[in-house]
Amino acid sequence: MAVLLMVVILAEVIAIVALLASQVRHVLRHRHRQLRQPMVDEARRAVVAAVASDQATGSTVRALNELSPGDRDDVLCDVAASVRSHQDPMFQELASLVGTADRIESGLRSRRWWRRLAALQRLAVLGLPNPRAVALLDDPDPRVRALAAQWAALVDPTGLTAERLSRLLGDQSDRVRHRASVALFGLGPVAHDAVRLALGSGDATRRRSAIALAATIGDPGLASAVWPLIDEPDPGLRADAIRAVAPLLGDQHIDMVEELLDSPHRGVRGAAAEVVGSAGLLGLAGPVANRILNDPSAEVREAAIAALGQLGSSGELLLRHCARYGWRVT
Amino acid sequence: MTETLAHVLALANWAVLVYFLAVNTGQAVLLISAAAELRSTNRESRGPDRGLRGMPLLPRVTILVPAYDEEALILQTVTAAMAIDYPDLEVVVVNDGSTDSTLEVLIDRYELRPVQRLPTSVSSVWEVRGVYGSDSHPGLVVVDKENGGKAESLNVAISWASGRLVCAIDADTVIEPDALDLLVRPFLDDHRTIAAGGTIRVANGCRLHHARVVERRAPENRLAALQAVEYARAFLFGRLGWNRLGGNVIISGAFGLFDRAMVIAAGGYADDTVGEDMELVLRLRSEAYESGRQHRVFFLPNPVAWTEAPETARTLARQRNRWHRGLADVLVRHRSLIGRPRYGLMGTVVLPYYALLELLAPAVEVAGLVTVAVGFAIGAIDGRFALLFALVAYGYGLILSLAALTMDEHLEGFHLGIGDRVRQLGWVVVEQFGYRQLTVIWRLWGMAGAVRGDLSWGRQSRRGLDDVEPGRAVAGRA
Repeated sequence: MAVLLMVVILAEVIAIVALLASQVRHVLRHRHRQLRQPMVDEARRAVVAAVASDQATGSTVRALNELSPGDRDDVLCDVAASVRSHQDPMFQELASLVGTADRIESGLRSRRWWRRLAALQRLAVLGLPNPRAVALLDDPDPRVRALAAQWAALVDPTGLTAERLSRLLGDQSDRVRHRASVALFGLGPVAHDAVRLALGSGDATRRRSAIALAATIGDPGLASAVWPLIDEPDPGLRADAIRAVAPLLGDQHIDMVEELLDSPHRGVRGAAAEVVGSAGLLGLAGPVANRILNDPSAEVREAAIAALGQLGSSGELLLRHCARYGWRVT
Repeated sequence: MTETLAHVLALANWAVLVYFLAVNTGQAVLLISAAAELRSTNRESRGPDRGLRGMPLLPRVTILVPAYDEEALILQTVTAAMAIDYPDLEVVVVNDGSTDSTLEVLIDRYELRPVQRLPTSVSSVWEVRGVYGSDSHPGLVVVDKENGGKAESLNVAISWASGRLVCAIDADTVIEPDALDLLVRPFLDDHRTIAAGGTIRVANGCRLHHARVVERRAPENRLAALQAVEYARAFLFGRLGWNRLGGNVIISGAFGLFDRAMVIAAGGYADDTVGEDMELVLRLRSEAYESGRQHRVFFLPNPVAWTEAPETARTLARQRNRWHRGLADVLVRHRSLIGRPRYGLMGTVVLPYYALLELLAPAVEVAGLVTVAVGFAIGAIDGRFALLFALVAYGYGLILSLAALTMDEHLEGFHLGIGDRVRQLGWVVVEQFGYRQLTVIWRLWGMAGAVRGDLSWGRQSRRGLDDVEPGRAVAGRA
């Protein structure tokens, strides 16, 4: 037993030495970085000056080339992220002069996901176009696909990109679907046709993402395309569809919305309460107040409170009335 | 008689040995898991990160700040909260019937005036004395209420919040400007996310400017320095390790982000426990298991918040006592989940781990020390074996602390200077002599309190962090 314990102690000593060595290595690396800092600052100043004067001089390139390749790329990305908007030809020029573009190209080809991701991150920050990066919209790693969606919308805000992005609305990863939705939202009206295409898709996931996106965009044209989906059997999808058609709702739809307020699905009831507020259906203030006082779901009660808050002074009056009768605490 | 006693002692020693092996195996698994998780996180953040800035469709986040007698720190906290780099932010401060001038300090600094505002969700049971808003800082809401405890304050803050996500922080927490940006991501990237928490670091000794940590230093106060090592260990291999295994059940009350609708649906924070943060996560998770809903609770190492650690033994003792009482109370309250396969990994592994290897640890440690002492006294223990065993235990503790500090250094952000680092390593070497035994006593005291049903918080005196200009708001933030 004592021998076993001594072996364990020996192993522990080795582990402790290794951990201390790691600390020392970290200190040395940090110290080295501190020593390089004046050169990095000098290069950063040179890049800022080049961007300000719209001219990359030989001294800018020399200042950058005095740094290690990693530092060069970092300086360019730092300045690009903080000084200028995307797709500045100055960064394109500097990136190709100091080898950053080549390193990004090689990173995009890497078999390691984190290298592809880092290369794409640099590409996105520098706003550089790259035909190879488009293929990353189909990358096997969701982290890379998600970033590729953001990058594509930044560098090529066209209908073709929107169509590619709309395919990602059916992606199995939440992150990819979210970033594709964000990218399509950012593209504005250019993306509406692509969203319509996704609304008619046979893929339920893609359809659901498109409905949620249409609800967020709030465009009447898109809302019309969602209208046929209001009878979707899936309650979650139906709830999103109700939110999406809010811009089209008027007093003639009061009966329909009132029926939805009594749906057995809390998501649908919540969405119906929401649209009463967003579409200003004052005629339904009473049934919504009833939801605040009697609905078993906290989600619905909260949506109803928010809806009454949007209905102006009449809604607020009802809200105070509900408050007096005591809102249910879950 | 002596022979029987020796026999009993031998059995007790074996039991302690088995317990020691179980604890260490569990910690080794967590350490390996944490290292793998950190590697993956670092790989993902290798390139320049544009963050969420400029991204549309981000959920609104409400920072909840419960404050009771926090006049020394409240401006620092609110200023730091409002300086967070996030596009859609709201800060709700609840003055929980402070007896000092917490409310007056806020009214003066932010030119608050009473506003007519109704809660966005249900709440009529709390005695709200007034709601204040600020023209110069439209994202700030201050709710003044009768004293009712931290959990009640958080529930009131949730009722007045309008964000889809709510971030609970303590009044002595300073959040890094990019922390929320990082903490929101799991909610965007995974629809199963119900809560996410970040790393808490000890701010004592650090240099602050405009409620931001601008220089990281090791604390000069001995107790705070020892706690800095403990925090690194707790967060960077405890919680990070559970993260990869999918078993996180603690999101620190000092810095955690929750889906507000889920919290409201679960009934908010429980106000009859002192472990309200862990209790809420357990309740959210158990309800998700019961309804068959997939869910995730994330711990992220990179979002960092800073907190002031107690600098006196008396305050620290009260804190540790409360933490252990909280753990005991929550585990007893949710005892029906322990060992139940229906609750997945949480029921079969995580909660038994917390019950056996965290809650009972101080009692077992004391029992071990007593049996060893008695064993020596009656000559039933081989001195050489005992010494080697003590060395193994000490070395293992050293490895865990050093590994946590090494992981801490691999996180982005602030690095310690050489002098501070050497000092910190010194604390790692000595923490097991005296300090560890003190924490064992405090935790035992907490266990005794839990048995008595003590739910008091105890008074927390704070010195305040050394900020150059604590009350000055950062320009451009509402």
